[in-house]
Amino acid sequence: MAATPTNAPEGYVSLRDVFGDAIMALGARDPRVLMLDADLASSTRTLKFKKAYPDRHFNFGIAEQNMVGAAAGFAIAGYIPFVNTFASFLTRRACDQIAVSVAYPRLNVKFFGFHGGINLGEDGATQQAVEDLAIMQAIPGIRCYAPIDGNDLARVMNEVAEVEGPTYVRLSRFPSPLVTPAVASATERAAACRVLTEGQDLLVFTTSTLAAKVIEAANALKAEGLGVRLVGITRLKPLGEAVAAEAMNFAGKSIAVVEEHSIHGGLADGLSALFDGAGIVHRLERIGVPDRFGESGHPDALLEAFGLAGAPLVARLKATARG
Amino acid sequence: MTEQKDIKTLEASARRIRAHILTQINAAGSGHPGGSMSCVEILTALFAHRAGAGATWFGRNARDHVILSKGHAAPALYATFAEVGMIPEAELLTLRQLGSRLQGHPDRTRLPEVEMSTGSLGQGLSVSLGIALALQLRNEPFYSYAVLGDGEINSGQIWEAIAYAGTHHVDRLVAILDANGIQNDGRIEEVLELRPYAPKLEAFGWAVREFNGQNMAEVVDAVDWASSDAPGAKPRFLIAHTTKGAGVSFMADRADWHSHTISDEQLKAGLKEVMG
Repeated sequence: MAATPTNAPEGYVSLRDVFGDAIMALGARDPRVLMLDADLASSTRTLKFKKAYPDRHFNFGIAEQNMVGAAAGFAIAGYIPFVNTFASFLTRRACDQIAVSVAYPRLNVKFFGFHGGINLGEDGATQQAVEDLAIMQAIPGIRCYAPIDGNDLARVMNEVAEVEGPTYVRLSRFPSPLVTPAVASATERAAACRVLTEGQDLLVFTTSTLAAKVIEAANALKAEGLGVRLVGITRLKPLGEAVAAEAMNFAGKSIAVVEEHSIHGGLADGLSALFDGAGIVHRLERIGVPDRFGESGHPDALLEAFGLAGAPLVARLKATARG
Repeated sequence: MTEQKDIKTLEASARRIRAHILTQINAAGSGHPGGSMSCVEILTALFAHRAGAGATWFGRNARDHVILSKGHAAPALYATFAEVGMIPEAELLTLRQLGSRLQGHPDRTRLPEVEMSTGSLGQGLSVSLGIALALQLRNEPFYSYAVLGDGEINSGQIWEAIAYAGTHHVDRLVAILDANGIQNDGRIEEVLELRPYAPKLEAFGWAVREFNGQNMAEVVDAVDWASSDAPGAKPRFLIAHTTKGAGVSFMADRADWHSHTISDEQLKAGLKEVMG
């Protein structure tokens, strides 16, 4: 497990530090693993890899489209390229290259979108990604992950290294609390879904490191006598069958989906399609980013202002439970 | 220097490839004849001469890699595959039909002999760059070739790849520009003028050579030069001056033949011209 950064509260772990450790292990295990960066190597935590394996690290400069294309070439030649940059720059700027040069030819390229969501905070909308999962999920054949915490990311790293074909992993910038168990082995994969709090009154789905904020809200509601069954989703595409089974038990009731992503094309849309396909009568309360860009602000203040954490989230979940 | 009799053999291949292009597009009812006809000598030199491609060539790990970045010239690629024995000649007539391996633009998942799926212009050079870097990493004595269109290099991604390859001396990378002077909407100078090419590319650190891209001996000579140590530790850029629709008088140097059907009468007249 990654070392806890000195400025982070006890028990908090940064996903990118877990990523940095995981690629060292993967790099030692498999000489085909390469790291590709676009002038953000200090942010993506690949510098240690570069030092250990200088021939297997490539910095393409601020040229994401070329980086994605070169990754396709490496994959054709039998390597496993990890493509690393901010989620916003990767998915918005290189969208056509991801679709045509990687997904369409089904090449084994691993994409990592750093600073996904709005919790990047002060840098504001241009560096934040509220639509990265919508873009990546809409492109055929890409498996999409938004790990819940550092332990969960360790499982995701095991999984993406094992599966053949394109994958996308969204990471958050700031350290977040560990809310899932430590990874059991180097082969343990991400669970289809994971119950984070038990309760009978309201079913809530969430994803990414925002899960910690939703757990806080669920605990606050429990103190008020409202039991929340909170289910964390790590792999948004494809969604596992166990996810539909969760909703089956709450059929006919309002279900909340809380995500640090646009309400268009994110987890809620994926769940809605899954439930419709399974014939589960449902009403989804979509608690996400409405049709707007992010903005500057302290990460915690931003999440509350967007109704995704703190008292505003508690209020929205309470309203959902009332139906 | 390639023997004169070998050039004659390659020229005969080029004639058959041109005939296949016309036959395919006539059968399909749509396609891009102009840019297919202009790159025939380039593809012939790469597959029949340089790579020595045949039925089992593509299955080898250790070999050259060729990407047709200007994917709309797919009929020329398929025709070349048939000419060197990589796919059956009869399959050419399935071009663009539902279920065919011969998609309108090349698709490597349906036809594994296609090095890379292309068609969204501007992407192939980056992929060839990645392959060239892989060849360098493994220290393999092969080259990674990308065939580009002169309209295609409007795309900014091409220049990202050019800058990277020059900066890092990627000498296993060979770009070949099919400079036929015409893009979809008209002549280069009317749409987006990027000439002169050579001084720009040299400034980016590439070794550059210009030649008549419809002259087989000159094309072969340029490909041989680019596939040797002669250019030094630089990526190589071959500017092939070509004619859109080359080989058929009523198509030659005409923008409206970029994307065009070929009627039965036009096929008959065209075949007579290319086969002589």
